[in-house]
Amino acid sequence: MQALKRALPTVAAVAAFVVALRALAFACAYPAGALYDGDLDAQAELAHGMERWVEADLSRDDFATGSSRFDGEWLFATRMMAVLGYAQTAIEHPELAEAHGRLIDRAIDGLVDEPGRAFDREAWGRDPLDDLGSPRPHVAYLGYLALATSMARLVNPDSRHAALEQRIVDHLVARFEASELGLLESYPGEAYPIDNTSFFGALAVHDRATGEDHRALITHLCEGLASRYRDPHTGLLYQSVDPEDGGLIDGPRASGTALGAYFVSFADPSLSRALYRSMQSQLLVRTMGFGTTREYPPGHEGRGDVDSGPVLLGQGVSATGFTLALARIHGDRETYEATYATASFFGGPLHGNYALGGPIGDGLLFALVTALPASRWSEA
Amino acid sequence: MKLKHVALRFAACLVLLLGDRLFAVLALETNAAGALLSPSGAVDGSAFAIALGFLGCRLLFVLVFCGAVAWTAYDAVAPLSSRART
Repeated sequence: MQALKRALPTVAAVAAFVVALRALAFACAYPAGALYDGDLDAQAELAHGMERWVEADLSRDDFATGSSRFDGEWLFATRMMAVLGYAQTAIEHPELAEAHGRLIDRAIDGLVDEPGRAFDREAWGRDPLDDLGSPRPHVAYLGYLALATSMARLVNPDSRHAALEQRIVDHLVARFEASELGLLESYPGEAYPIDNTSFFGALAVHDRATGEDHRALITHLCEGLASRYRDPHTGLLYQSVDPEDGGLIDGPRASGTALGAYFVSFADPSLSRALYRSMQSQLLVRTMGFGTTREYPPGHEGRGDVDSGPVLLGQGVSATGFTLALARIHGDRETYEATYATASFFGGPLHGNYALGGPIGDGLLFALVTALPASRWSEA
Repeated sequence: MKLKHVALRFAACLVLLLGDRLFAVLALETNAAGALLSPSGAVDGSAFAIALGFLGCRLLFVLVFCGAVAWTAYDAVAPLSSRART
């Protein structure tokens, strides 16, 4: 009893430390409740913060990945994710559709101008828009551009990019129909399931926007993704495969799986949910109210790359952010709030921007925290 | 437990919180934000310093705040514990 009394102050100090830490996690997660519920003001603040980057004359020089191609990809991704954010919030709040439709078209202007497509032209040695109708798929550019422009068309059928969207979709539909592997090259000699899933989602959005029917192709592609490019042990997607025979090059990873599951949610919500469940069972970590996502499943090791972002103590920065989208899509409020606490703590939200986000961080978080619940897509 | 000590602990928290806000604004204004996301570390030195300053303030705030709460709890319970022993 005496020993217990002696230890009482220490026990009280440790308990207070833990309570204080959990209180901080709660404070960081607090805005997540409104975002999860789709609160108009909370979403509008992010949309307003993103305008800064959509209206800015960004270039590859604004990024510092150490690789010209990756700088171009990040410039592209900033605007592409901005489009997703603006489209999702416009679908959730139709009163925003007109204003966001204009911002979407503005962001797409930057995706299709010369500097916006330079990274892909340099990789292929040919311009991706001039190559529409050719055998070259350019999926690293055209897959994502199809998603952005189809969203534009869904929000505003009179989008000035509607005709281009139709040409891109026709081009990639022809390429996928001719593909035995069900996957196309991102760059010459490189194939990534994640890049391909952007088009699977785009095709479903395109059908909703236009009334066309590609259900058979979408089903075929999603079934192929699940059966050939999903690791049988972990249920996660392979990060990269050989474009010649579909053989494994880079194994199952959280960043590719999470972003792929987000894009697939537009086309096949049940496959998206299955991928998220695989992540939940192996990769999601909760520590004192903060949620993170491991980049590599148990038994796999790595130091990360441009897709994963920094990997700290096994937790992937990109994967943790992408988890936000899946948590909202699949109704996992606890994970959404815990993961938002982490993103908020390290990102530092400030009037719709994130102190440590920059253009790409702001774009990603805008799209990810406003990802629509799977059920909303059936109404869109 | 002296009130002055408690006030000092939480004043330190406030100073760190102000530093955190200052670095956050600076990071936004100078577009230093993506410095720590860069996979190759090929970033401008000042951007890196601002980003690290922000994170440093933030992490230090957590430590100091939780430590201050813990210390205060210790100080509050210690007299009860010693009274019980005597």
